[in-house]
Amino acid sequence: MTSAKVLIVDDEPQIRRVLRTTLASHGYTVVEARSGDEALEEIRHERPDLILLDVNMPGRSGLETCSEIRTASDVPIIMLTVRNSERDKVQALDAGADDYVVKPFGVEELMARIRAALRRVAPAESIPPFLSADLKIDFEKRTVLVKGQPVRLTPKEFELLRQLVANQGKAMAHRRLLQAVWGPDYGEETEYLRVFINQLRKKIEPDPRNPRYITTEPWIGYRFERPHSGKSANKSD
Amino acid sequence: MRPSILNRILHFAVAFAIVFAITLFYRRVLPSVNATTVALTFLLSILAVSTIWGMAVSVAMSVVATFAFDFFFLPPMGKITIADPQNWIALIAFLVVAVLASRLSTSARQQAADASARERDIERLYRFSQGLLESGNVMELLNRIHAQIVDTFEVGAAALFLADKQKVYRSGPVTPQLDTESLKAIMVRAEPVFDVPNGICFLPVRMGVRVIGTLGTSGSILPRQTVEAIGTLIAIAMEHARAVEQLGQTEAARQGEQLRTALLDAVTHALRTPLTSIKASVTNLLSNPGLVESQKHELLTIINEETDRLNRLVGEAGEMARLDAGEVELRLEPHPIEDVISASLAHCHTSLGNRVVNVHVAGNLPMVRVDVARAREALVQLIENANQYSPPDRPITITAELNGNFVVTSVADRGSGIDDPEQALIFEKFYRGKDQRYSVQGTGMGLPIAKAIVEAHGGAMSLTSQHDRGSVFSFTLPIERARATHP
Repeated sequence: MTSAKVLIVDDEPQIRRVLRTTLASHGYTVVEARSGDEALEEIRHERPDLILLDVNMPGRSGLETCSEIRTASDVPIIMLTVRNSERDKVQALDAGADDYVVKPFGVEELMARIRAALRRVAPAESIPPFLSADLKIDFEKRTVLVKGQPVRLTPKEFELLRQLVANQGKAMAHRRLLQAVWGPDYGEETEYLRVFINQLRKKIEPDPRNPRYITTEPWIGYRFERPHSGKSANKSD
Repeated sequence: MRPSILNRILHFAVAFAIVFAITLFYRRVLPSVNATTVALTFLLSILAVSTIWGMAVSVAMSVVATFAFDFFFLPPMGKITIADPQNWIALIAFLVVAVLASRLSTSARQQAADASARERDIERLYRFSQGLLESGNVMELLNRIHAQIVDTFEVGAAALFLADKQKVYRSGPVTPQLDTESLKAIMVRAEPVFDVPNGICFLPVRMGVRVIGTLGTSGSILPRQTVEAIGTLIAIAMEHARAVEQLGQTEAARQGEQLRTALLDAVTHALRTPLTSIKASVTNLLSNPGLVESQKHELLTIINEETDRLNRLVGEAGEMARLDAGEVELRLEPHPIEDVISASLAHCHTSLGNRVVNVHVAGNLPMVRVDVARAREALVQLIENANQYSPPDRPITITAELNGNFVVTSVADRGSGIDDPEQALIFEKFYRGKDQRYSVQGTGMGLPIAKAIVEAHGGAMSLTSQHDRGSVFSFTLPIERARATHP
């Protein structure tokens, strides 16, 4: 049993009650917030290890709250949403969430997602730093410099980049990337990869529309390579 | 209009009598008068007669006047002298005046008659167009076109055949003159037909260049231009009615669509929330053997509460739907408003607890037409609302007073009030106060149901609220007398 601290953000009192009992019964410490504003307050005071964030809240919405949290913290965020549409999922991931769960959900599924989000892959094999003219990645210190400027990556983004660089030059299949970064329960959620790869490209590529480091392998997955000088890279999807 | 034979004979008789009178006058009264004066007098009288009664009468009069002039006034007196050139000059002068004057006046009369006929036709067409444009929809229009034509243009019968409906709209029973086959045949020929002897006229009705039907009239023949104008007006009116109808349908469909989407969103959220709590509790109970007794109890309590909430939600949604569809039968009877207020207070007795409730009912209030059980539901909702959303130490005030033909009942609380954007939403189905959602159990259906009940009574519900001063919910119920004066 872990003793990670989870912040529940939902405006519905009954849902908070269920989550409180459920998480407590699974050994987590629980903090609650009734709104986005309260959540931002709680994060400062309680420093939770993970946030369960409801998308549909009056006042500051879940998506706004998520973006706001992301400006200051890398804490894993799982969004709770009622709409099971591709657009809503992508919006949640775009806002900076690591994962989402569609209401109504079973507890096993939620617990699996929480475990996956909390899982920090221990650097089993240490990867040597990646150095090029405009990109420097130090996996020991977890720092990324683009043209000398430090860039902030979320843990999931960093983990994804690590997987890609560790297999430099090789095409990484969607399923393999998902399982390596999110955990063994994943494999079909290609929209996760699309959103996170896009975010990574925005952060590390000199021209995100014309990526040179992270290229798309149609139907297969993604590939990280050292840019060939003078040769234009593949188009992004 | 042709003058009758008798009238004609009378005209001739009068004309001859004038000649006789002039002759008599100059022979007896002024025997010394010279012939020129007599001739001029005749000329003037012929001019007058020709203007009024036309050529035939005045030519006959001219001949008679020539003989009289010759016989009585030209020497040798008392004798007809055909050979005398003076005679011929007089006759020619009389005839020329008679013919010219009668023709001029006839054409002037004809023109005047034409002008007034045209004016009448235009006036009829105008009235016809007014009549057609009043129709709000195509069906209504089609069922009044023929009647309008019969009324306005004074024809015996009218029939309109429309190709797209394959139907004939008639002013009366099917007549052999205006049978369906003829109407269809004209539509194919696309040319008007005027059967003057039988008083029948057929006209293709055109929308642009396309023939859309046939109009047939019988009883009297209308001028061709008028008939064509009628056809054009019918086409325009149908186009107009169709456009108006379509606009209305599009607008209604759009609003309905918006409402459905909003409602679906609200229902989704309202139903998913308790379902989420139940599903999470149940899966936890099923999968987690490590639950302690108190946790199991908590999860089961939540399941119990949330199934109640779902049940309430379904019940209220059903009631709302019945109210919306007008399927709720109200048993309207005259009652004093006090009946509704006291029944509501009795119902809320437990939940109000120790809260102070002030009731002010104006004196001499007339009875209201009300279904007491339903109105109680509405007022209970307002009282419960005030009770839930204002601190327990603040009083609730219920007032009832007369306003025109309605009794206004208000429930005022001293809660935190409702801000403007929320005031518009508060009667929406499934909406719940934004600050209250955190603490108060509810389905968001109470106020919309209360509003629907009041509206089913013919009343209205309104809200005034000031931030930090409290809210006043008011509803009106029609008084009994108002029903009697406006049955």
